[in-house]
Amino acid sequence: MDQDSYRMLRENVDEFCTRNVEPLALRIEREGMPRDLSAKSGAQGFNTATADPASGGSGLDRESYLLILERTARSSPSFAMYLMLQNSIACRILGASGKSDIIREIASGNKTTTVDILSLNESSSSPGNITISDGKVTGTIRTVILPSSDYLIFQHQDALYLAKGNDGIEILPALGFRGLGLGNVSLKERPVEKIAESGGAALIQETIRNSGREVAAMALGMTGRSIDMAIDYSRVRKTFGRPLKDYEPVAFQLSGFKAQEEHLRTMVFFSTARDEYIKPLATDLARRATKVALQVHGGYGYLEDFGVEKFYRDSMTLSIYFGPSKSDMRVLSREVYGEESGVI
Amino acid sequence: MCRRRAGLLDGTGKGVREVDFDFTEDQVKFREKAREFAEREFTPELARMFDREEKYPDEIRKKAHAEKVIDYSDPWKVLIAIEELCRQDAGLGISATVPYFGEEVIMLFGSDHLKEKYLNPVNEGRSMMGLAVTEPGGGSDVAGLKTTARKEGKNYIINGAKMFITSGSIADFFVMLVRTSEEEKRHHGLSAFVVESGFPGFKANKLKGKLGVRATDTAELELNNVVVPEENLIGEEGKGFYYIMTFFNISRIFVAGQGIGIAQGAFDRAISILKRKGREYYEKEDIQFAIADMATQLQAARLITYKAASYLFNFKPDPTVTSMAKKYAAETAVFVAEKALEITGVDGISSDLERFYRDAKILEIWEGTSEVEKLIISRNIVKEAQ
Ligand SMILES: Cc1cc2nc3c(=O)[nH]c(=O)nc-3n(C[C@H](O)[C@H](O)[C@H](O)COP(=O)(O)OP(=O)(O)OC[C@H]3O[C@@H](n4cnc5c(N)ncnc54)[C@H](O)[C@@H]3O)c2cc1C
Repeated sequence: MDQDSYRMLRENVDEFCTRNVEPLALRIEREGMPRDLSAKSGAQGFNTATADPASGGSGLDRESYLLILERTARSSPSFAMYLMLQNSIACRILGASGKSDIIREIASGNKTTTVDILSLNESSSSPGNITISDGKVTGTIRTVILPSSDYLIFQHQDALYLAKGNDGIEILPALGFRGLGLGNVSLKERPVEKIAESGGAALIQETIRNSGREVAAMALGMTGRSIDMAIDYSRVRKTFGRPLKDYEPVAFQLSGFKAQEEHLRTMVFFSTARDEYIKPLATDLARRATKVALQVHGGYGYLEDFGVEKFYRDSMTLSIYFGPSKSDMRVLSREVYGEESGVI
Repeated sequence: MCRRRAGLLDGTGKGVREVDFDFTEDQVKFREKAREFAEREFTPELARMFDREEKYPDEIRKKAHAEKVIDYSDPWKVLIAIEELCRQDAGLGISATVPYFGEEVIMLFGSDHLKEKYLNPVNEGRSMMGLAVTEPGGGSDVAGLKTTARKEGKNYIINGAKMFITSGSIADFFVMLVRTSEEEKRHHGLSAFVVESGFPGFKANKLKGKLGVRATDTAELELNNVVVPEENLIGEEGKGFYYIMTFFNISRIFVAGQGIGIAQGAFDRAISILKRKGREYYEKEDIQFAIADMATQLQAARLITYKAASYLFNFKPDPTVTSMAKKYAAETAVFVAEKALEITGVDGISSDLERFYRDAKILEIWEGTSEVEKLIISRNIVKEAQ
C-alpha cells in the first residue's frame, strides 16, 4: 500500500471509530458488543473485510485490513478482536467450506460466528466433552471466545462442524476482550452441520498461524493508544510542581515506546519480514508498553473510566490467546536452525 | 523455637546487622490458623462474586475479627495474616485487614481521648477506619495537598476533596491529612485530624470499575465546610506530614506482605495447574526455568520483607529497607502473576489466576508508587553516603 492510500483509509477508519466505537468503548467492556455496532461496521465492510466479494466479502487487501485492526484496537481492542475473529478465523474457514450464506450474514452484522480456537491451543487441557451422533451434538465446548455467537464452528475427531445457537453458556472470568466474553458452551441434542470431513484441527490452526500479522496489528494499536494516552497525561499531570513529562524516567520511557511503536508500524505495514518474526515483537511490546502507560496514570490508571487499564488486560490476553505459542516458537526455531529444535 | 534463621548480612554499608527471622511456635501455629481461615472463608465462588459485584465483604470482616485473625498484639502476626489472606484472595484478604488502616497514626501520636473514642471501637470490631491522604490533584506529592482546615473558635473547618480512599464509603472515620497553614514550608503546613463520615458536609462517592482488589471499597471524599472539633487534631498542628510518613514506614511493610501473599497465591495456583497438565507439559525446560525464576524472586521478596519487618518490629526501623521491601514485593507480585499466566496459558487465564494478575498491579501504585519508592531509596542512600 502506498503512503497516500494508507493515510486515506486511516482517516476513514479513525472517523468511524471516533463516531461509533470511542463513545461505546466503556460500554463494550461492561456489557459486551452492541449489535448495532456490528451492523454499522458491517455497513463499512469491516466485518468481512478480506472475504471474497462473490460471497459477501469486501475484498480488501491485507494491508487495509491490518489498518482496520490497528485503528479499531486503539479505541476498543474487544471490537478489533471481534473483527479479527469474524474475518481472519471464521470467514476463512467458512470460505474454505463454501458457506457463503453465513459469510453474508456476518457481513451485514446480523449474525456473529465464533470458532473454538482455544481448545486447540497447546496450553489448554480442556478439550471439552462432546459426542455427535445422527447429526446432533451434545456436550460442552470449553473456553470459547464470544460464546454468545449465533454460529459456532468446532472440530471433533478432526472433522469440522457448524452449530447454530447453543443450550447454555457458563461465563468464565475474562481477563481481556471482555466485550466478547469467554465461556463454556453447552450443546444438547443440537443439530450440527459437518462442513469438512477431515483436517478440521489443521485448518483452524493454520488460520491462526496465518493471522500473525493481524495479531501484531492489534498489538500495535494497543501499544500506540496507551502510550499516546500516557504522553498526553504526562503533559498535564503535575507532581512536585512539575509536569510528569519533565522527569527523565517518564519522558525517556514513553518516548522510547513511541520509537518502538513506529518501528513496529513499519514492520507490520511495510516490511516483507515473515509474520513469525513480527508477532513476538508486537505482543511483547504491547505488554511492556501498556503496563508503563497504566503506571504513568497512577491511581487513575487503575480505574476503568480512564480507559487505559483495558489495554493492560487485553495485551496479556492477546499474547495468551494468539501467542507466540510454543508451537510458533518451534516453527521459528526450526527455521533458524534448519532442523527440529527447542523440544526439551 | 522453630528455627527459620536466614542469617543475612546487611549490605547497605552501615555495618553488619544480622536479621532475626525466627518465627516462634506460636507464630507458626498462627500462620496455620490464618491459612485455614482463608481457605475456609475465601471460597473461589465467594472471591469471584465479590470481585464481580464490587461489594465489600462485611461478613468476612466480622468473622475475621471474631476469630482473631488480625492480632495486633504481635506485628509479626499481622504480617503473617496479611500474607496468608492475600495468598487466598487479595480482594477479600485486604478487605478483612483494612478496617484498621491508619490505626498506627492515632496509636503513636493521638491523645488518650482519641484512642479511647476511636480506636477502641475499631479494635473491638464495632467500627471501621480509613486513611485519607491522596487528593484528586495528586498522591505522590503528599506535601502538595490542597484540602484546608481553618481554625474557628474550638473547631477546624475542612474544605477540599480526597481521592481513591480505601473504605471511603463505608468507614466510620478517617485519619485525614490537610493543610492548616499556607505560610509554612509545604510539608510543615500539614496537620492530621480524625474526621467522622457522619460529620455534616462530608460526602463519599464510591468509585466503581477498578482493575483489581474489587472487593475493597474505594471512594472520592467531598469535604464541604466540615466542622471538626479541635480535640480531633492528632498530635500537634503542623506535624501531620511527619506523622503520615512515619505511618507509611510501617504500613509499607504490610503492603510488602500483600505482595508476598499475592505472589505466593499465584505461584501455588500455577503449580497446581501445571501438575494437572502433566509431566509432559511441566518438565519442558521453558516451564522449569520460569518456575525457578518465580520461586527465586518470591523467596528474595520474602527475605527482604522479613528483614525490613524485623528492623521495624524491634523498634529500629530502616525506611530505606522498608521502601526496598515494598517496591520489590510489589514488583514480585506483578512478575509472578504475569509468569503464572504465561506458563499456564489458556488454562490459567480462564481460572482465578487472572484475578491475581489484576490485583497485583495495585501494589505498584498505592502507599507510594514504585517510582516514589525508588526516589526514597536513592535519596536516603546518597544522603547517608555523604
Ligand atoms: C484502589 C486504590 C486505593 C487507594 N487507597 C488509598 C487510601 O486509602 N488512602 C490514600 O490516601 N490514598 C489511596 N490511594 C491513592 C494512592 O496512594 C495514589 O494513587 C498513589 O499514591 C499515586 O498517586 P496518584 O494516583 O495521584 O499519581 P501521581 O502522583 O499523579 O503519579 C502519576 C505517576 O507519575 C509517577 N511520578 C510521580 N512523580 C514522579 C517523579 N518525580 N519521577 C518519576 N515518576 C513520577 C508516579 O509514580 C505515577 O506512576 C489508593 C489508590 C487506589 C488506586
